[in-house]
Amino acid sequence: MRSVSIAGIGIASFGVRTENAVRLGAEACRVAMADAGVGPERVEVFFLGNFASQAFTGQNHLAPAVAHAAGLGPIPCTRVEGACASGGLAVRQGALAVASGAADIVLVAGVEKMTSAGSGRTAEILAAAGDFECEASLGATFPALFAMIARRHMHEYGTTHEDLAEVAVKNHAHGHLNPDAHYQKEITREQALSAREVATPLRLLDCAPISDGAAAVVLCASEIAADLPSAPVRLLASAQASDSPALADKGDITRFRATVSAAEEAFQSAGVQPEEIDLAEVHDCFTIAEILALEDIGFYRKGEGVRGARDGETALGGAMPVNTSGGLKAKGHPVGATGVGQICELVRQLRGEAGPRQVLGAELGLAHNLGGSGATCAVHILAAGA
Amino acid sequence: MMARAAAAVVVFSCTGCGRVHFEDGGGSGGCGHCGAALVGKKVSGRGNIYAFSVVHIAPEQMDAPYTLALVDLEGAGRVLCRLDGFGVEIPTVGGPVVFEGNSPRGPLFRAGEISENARG
Ligand SMILES: [Zn+2]
Repeated sequence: MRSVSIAGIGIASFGVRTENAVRLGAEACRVAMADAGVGPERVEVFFLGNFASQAFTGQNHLAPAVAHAAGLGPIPCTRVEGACASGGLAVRQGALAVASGAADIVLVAGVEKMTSAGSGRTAEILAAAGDFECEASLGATFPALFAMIARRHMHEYGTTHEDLAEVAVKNHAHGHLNPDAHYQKEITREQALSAREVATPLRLLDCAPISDGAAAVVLCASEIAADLPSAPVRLLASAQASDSPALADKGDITRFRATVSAAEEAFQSAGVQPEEIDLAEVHDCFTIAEILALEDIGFYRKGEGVRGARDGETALGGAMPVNTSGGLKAKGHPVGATGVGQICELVRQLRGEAGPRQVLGAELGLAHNLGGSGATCAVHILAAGA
Repeated sequence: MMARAAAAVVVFSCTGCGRVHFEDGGGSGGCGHCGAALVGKKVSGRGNIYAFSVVHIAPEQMDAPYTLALVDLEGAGRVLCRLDGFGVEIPTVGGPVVFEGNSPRGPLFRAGEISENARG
């Protein structure tokens, strides 16, 4: 398999956007191609991560529409869906296309336009990422599923709501430094602990917001990257794993088997250890999800993930900053864009272009993108340099 | 807590994927998830709460608040269900519940009596 590099990144700012999904996707694509110094005529294949554009906006068949709006030629355009991991899966499909030799330059984008649906309808659409028959039909909203996970984590490991609040406070502090973030305001522990209850024990500030936005990356064969203008970043590993969408099918709901498997495979294929990673973007759709991810990836032992935010280890300036972009929590969570946006943040950091939120000396980064309540997981490991 | 005694109930376990159903497969006769054969089994109807959440923001066409729980049903396995009858009391992880019946929103459990063993 050939070595794959990331030659360009582009973000259509996350938040409440008036543009439709096609325009948002095309905006991110154009920024990424300009960043890579690659014109649309050089893109050979296009993958688009998107979860539910049909349900949110009525528009389906999004990949060729975005490609056309971005000025791409009559190339293969494929939409990839894996709930909240749609973006990460699209990146993986693009990486496989380059690694296999099927294409030299691939454009990958992710997009979601969510804020035009009402909150009840949005809860219903997101719940469809779970198991319809035995979860959504009972009213098991997405927050409710993670709330049960949080409750069990509290029961088994003594995790407290204060521990969850620390994750929200940290990620909002990071989002404060990201001009592309949906929420750029810092929050206090007290605000997190007194926010409106969504599904006990989770409160509003434990949940990632509903956002619009898009992100894109240009992937290429590493030998081509040397001739392109941006500082090169290598994709060392791209791994993916799955599990049942239904919580009742999992033995221990405080551990996502899909994350454990994908992370193990990623570390093995990259030839690096968890302790060598300098920074990570992990899937904090809820505060408890960041804690689970830190444990399942292998950064912390099970039950000890709370130490990350509580002791400042995962904050900017800590031993291994996590979610320097603000994470889903503050940067926003336009579902299909999230996994691609994580890659954009790592590339920015590994190039040394992250400004006030730069992790000094960052050389190795990990992205963890999760779909549903642990049914799909994509893990990528990136390295600075050619 | 409004304690009640459990009534025995027949559940249908899937021989393929292991899921527990409270109704037989209807016309198709198989598991609604994977299609494999179901085996009926009489169980006590007692279970314990593995995890729960009181949901305050509901999807369209549902009224909040309501309580969801993953319940470990004696002799059957883990099921997602609705909890009812806790009044002002909050369910607890490990707390006893009993099967009440099927509802349009899935299986319904109520607060159960604490078993002799647990009481001792
Ligand atoms: Zn089955």
